[in-house]
Amino acid sequence: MNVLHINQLTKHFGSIKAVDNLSFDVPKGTIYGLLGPNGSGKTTTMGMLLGILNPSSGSYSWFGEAPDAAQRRRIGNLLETPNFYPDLNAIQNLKISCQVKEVDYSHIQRCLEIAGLWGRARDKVKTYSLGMKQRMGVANALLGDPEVLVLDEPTNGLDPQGIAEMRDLIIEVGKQGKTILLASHILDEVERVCSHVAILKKGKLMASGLVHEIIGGGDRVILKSDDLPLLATALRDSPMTSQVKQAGDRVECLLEDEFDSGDLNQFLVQRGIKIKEIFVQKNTLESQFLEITKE
Amino acid sequence: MMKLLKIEWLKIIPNRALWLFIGIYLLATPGIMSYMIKFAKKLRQVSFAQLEYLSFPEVWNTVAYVGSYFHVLLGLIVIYLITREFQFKTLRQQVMDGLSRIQLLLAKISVMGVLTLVAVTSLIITALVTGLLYSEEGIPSNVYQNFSVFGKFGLQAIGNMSLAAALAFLIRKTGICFILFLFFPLLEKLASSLIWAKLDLYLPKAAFGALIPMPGRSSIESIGIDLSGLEPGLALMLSIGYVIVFLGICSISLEKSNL
Repeated sequence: MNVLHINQLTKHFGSIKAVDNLSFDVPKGTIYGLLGPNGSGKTTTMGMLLGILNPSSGSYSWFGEAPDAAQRRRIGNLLETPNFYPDLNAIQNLKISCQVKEVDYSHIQRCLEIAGLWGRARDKVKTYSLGMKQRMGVANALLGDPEVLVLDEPTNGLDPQGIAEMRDLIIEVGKQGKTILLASHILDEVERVCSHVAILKKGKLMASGLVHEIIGGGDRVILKSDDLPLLATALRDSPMTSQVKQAGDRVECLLEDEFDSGDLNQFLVQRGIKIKEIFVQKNTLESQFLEITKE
Repeated sequence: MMKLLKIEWLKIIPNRALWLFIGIYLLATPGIMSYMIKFAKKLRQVSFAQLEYLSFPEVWNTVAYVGSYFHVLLGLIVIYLITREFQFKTLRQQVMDGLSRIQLLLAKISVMGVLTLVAVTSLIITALVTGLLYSEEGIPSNVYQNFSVFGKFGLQAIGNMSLAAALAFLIRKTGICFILFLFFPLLEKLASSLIWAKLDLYLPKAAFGALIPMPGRSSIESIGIDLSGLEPGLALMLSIGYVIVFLGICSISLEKSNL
């Protein structure tokens, strides 16, 4: 079952097409990464999904129904920098959010504790650092134990410890069966926490699906030998490799999923080829992202 | 509606600047009334009884007329309350958290309603105290005459605040809204001079102003001074119309724009 269905969603700002016919589904219980370079339309997409930007065309539905305000109370959000009244303290601000979300005030302390902000809960928000405001945004997003979290760059402004805590929190929330839509630039974090991703570029969807499918099989292997033509021929003959090419003082190829570098080395030794160096370049979400979004 | 009012209340309670604004508003009418009475007595060397516009039932209209000049403060309060939400992007947060855009407007209308109640209550108390102080015969039998002026005073307050809200939702910048709102009567005059000399009589601020006649207007007009203004009935209709238009502008602006 899909929690979110997006159908040809488009947003123009004057002559600029910020989001261009975007369509994808977010299955229930997934942690879904939304990736893209700056200006790719991630925040604009989230803004439309959260009701603050009017789509130019297209549609979306939450929980299988047309969007409305009551649905948004089931969705925790953190979009860009958190927006709070600077002259009010954290508790006063979250009381307003509780009223809006129709949530009991008893949630406030628990959420501020999870966000690591309970100790400063009675200080005015204008005295908070960017990281503390971000933590406050997280506390606000968690109010009412929502079924879905929409998080846009949640680690913005956080220190390394805060980033690690945020990653653990997202994983923990995900384990509870909740659905998370997460936009982030930190690709190794996304790779670690997300089950699915959609990659945007200039408002268009470039790829979407399971993270391991996007990353794809086949680590890149770089080999050096005294006899490069013989090495290249052997690799081309091997069922373990594909896309073999000789480049300068090395031969590069892709290693099929079911084999590792040890298998390849053993195969080459059996063929009497002496390997001077073997280097495996793991395929990552980052490498795929850069490949997909390069100009 | 109570939920929306409670949300607004939570925003307002700790806001000292706002309470200062409201305090100034509440003290303005009694303060000016007191100053004007002292000045009038000094000028005319009259006894209390001769300040005829301060006795019942005329005092209702007199105090309402003086008080109407301070509706501008209510307008500034509304502009402040709305534009700071845009400044802090808190309206967009509340929409993301689960309010509809129309609820955002209804929340502000509920505050305008409460401010109107406060304004009318303050007016009644000021007029009652003034009347008791300056009516020789205490409370006369016709004390309820002119009581409709409170409704008109309330409409005037709502009218000014709805104009202020329309400016605030459209422009979103506190300073520009303050200037436009304060100089709105001048803009009406300017439009009138460019289009049609009598146009300004029908424009919003003039229509709201015509709801409460100047005390002693008939006496002034009887000596040949023209205080031309709208007929009360027409002023009432126009004022209600303008309130609907301004709130409609607020609604359309909120629904159509990105937050």
